[in-house]
Amino acid sequence: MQVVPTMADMAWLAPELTLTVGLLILLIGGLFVPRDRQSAIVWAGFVVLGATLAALVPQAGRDVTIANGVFAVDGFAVFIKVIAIVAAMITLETSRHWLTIEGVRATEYVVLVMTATLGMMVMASGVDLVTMFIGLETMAVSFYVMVGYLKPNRRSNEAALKYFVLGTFSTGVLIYGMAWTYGLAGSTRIADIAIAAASPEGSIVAWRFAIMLLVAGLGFKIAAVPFHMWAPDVYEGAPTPIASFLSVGSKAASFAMLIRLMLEAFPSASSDWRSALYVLAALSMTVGNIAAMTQNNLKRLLAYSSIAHAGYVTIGLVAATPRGISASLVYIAVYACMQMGAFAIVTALRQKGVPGEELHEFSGLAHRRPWMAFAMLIFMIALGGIPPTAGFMGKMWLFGAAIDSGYVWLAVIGVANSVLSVYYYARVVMWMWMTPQESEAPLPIAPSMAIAISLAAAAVIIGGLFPDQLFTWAESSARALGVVSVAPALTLR
Amino acid sequence: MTITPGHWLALSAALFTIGLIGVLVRRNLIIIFMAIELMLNAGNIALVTFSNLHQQVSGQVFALFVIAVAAAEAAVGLGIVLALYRNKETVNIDEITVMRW
Repeated sequence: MQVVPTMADMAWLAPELTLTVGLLILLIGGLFVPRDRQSAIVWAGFVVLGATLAALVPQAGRDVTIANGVFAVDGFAVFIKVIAIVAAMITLETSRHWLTIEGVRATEYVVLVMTATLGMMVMASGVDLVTMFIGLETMAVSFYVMVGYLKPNRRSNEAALKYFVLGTFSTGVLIYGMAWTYGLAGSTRIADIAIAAASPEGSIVAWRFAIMLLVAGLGFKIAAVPFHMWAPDVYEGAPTPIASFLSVGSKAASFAMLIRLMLEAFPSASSDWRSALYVLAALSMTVGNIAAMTQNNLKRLLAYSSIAHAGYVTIGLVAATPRGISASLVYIAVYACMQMGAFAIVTALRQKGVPGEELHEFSGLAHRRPWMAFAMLIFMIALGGIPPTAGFMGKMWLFGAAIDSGYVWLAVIGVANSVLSVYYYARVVMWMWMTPQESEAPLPIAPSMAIAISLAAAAVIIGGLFPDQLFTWAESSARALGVVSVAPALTLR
Repeated sequence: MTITPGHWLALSAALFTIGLIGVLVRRNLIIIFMAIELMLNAGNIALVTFSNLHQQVSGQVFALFVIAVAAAEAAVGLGIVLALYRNKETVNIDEITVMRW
């Protein structure tokens, strides 16, 4: 048995190694950067993430498992990694201005964004319970610190505390589930678990118990109802760029882990976890959208909307066909653009002495900053699933996949919820266009922020008009999982 | 009486339940942290038991990783509590209510 990774393995790990070396250099190098030059660190972080993205290019279209079968380099992993890295890059770009306003040191902030990204990349590639767990915790612990990054700020403290308590609680549940999975399957490797689960020894109840613990543990991370209670408080109290990274990167990576676990480890129990995820999806969409209606803080509103979106993405996994999984992947990518764009605008409104989070602070934005209001309009209609945006295309595919697999009622719930959600997205738009301007204060926008917002808005529109490329890519990524065999509903017996 | 793997699994299930209930009903943050540690260690006991049962080391290695991660989490968690305590002077979660839905 080969235990030590070979040089060939190392070559496949190039993106992760680039990021690790880069962030370590930055962590030490940051000490020597004077306080008024903090922007240089953000640039350096951006460059390292760019290099990581470049190192990922040769891995496109490959499908190998390395390091003694614990780390997969396949299309699915690459897809999620690209989302995670791009989300981290946008987070850094939108943080630049925010860091100077808050007057906090940039080094640790940038390094933590990068360690979280590293964790997400390992989660996307892990095909072994231990690897997945390490990736998940690398990401989660980085986020605990980042959410509480504003030490003198009581909201930030409180958000960090709530995230920490519920995050570690979910880790405990997940670990217990993983321990039982290992105990029943006799291996931590996903491929071996799938073989063991195909002809389960021992009690079926124990197998179901283990699967439900895994779903519950990951349900916390994707913020699906009924494991969502932390999300609104954490998003509200966390630094805004971090809230956006948390809602996109963390969710994408956790979905990757959930999808891989369910499809690759437990295809033989598909109807067991499908019924659990069905309930999760339906509840998340409904509770998320209804709770979002009464919110007056935009970060809270986006938090509830992200809960609802976790529900939409889960639909694809419930369908569990190649089409369903590719629809989930497409929707994760699309959601990343719309959510990060909307959060970037909330970040842009943050000025010295102005929180810029409440709905009334958006009043008259259409007159103060017309193009910014227009970009927000694009993000809102995309989140609401209205054409011609990518949000509409993504939802159409998801609901179509659900109907294809016979989950017509789930699709109906999804459509009803999309209609419901338009109400509160339209509320934001109304505040921007139809209420008189509240503040005459200038609203300076950093160029990096303007670029990030414009790119996100352009991606949402282009994705809506020409979705073929994205769909093709997502479909080949979903194929990497070999989901074709999952379509029939199987129960453990 | 001999101690069988069944006994160890019962112990781990008991610890997990105590931890779970502790997180849900206790109001002191430090106690909640301890309850969470109980849950993680329940996982560890189960891992080591199964590892012994299957005559493999991978479960024990997994447990080592869990211990390392739990240490990192405890360090970060206590840091967060300290930051909160400096601003608010309480470790009772009923008083930590700046944000409510």
